[in-house]
Amino acid sequence: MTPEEREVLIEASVGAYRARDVEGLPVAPPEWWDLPVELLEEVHRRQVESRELERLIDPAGDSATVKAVMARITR
Amino acid sequence: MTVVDEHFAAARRGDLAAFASWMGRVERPIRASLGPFVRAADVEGVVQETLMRMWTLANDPNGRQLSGENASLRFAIGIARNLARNEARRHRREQYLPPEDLPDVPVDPAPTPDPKLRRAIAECIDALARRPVEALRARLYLGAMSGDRAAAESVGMTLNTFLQNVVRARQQLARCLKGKKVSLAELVS
Repeated sequence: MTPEEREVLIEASVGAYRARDVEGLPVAPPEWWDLPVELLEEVHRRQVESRELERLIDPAGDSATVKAVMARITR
Repeated sequence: MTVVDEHFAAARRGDLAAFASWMGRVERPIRASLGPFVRAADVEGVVQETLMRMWTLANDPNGRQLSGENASLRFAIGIARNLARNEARRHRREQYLPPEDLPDVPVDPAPTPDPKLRRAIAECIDALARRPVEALRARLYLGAMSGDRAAAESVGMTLNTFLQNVVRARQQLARCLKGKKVSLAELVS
């Protein structure tokens, strides 16, 4: 895996969108499954960082996680 | 009664805005509590499912009554860790699970954002190169609800190019913030 490929896999896993399975449970993106386990620590670090950035710049102070849950509650 | 408890009590009376405020306060400590599970389960999915289950609890008139300081947050952390264990078992990733007797984590709710920090980030986003900022903004506006593929299409990029541009945006943003003496790592410490 090249460094560029690795970065793309990590970034795809960092996003907050989660599809749901037939039981309604969230499904990890396909890229998450392709990552070596040691890189899942980096995914977590970037998720923490991203959610905080989103919270800071959103007018309502909502992270992408909060937006995703609100969308599901109000759909 | 803490602010977190007040928000959750209002959510139990059907106040959706209060529930959103409650989520804003507890998301960070819930995610932090899942640190030992990052190799075993998809933490983002676990956090979202935990918040959904807390909304179900808030709307259940016969739901469990919670007591004690930040009780709703402590309860949510318990749910999150159980969900992470269940998910790991469901996907046969038990070998990555931490021990059962994990120590409690600090449950301080997230602080209110600093306006100066907000301004610095907004200025740095405005200073990003065109394609990276297009990708980043598309993810911010659409990504959570519709996913990266839809966000990529909205700015005329393939998914791979879109993700590469988000990576570039993240790197440029970190450099810009460093120039303003703000470290991304400090944001979350």
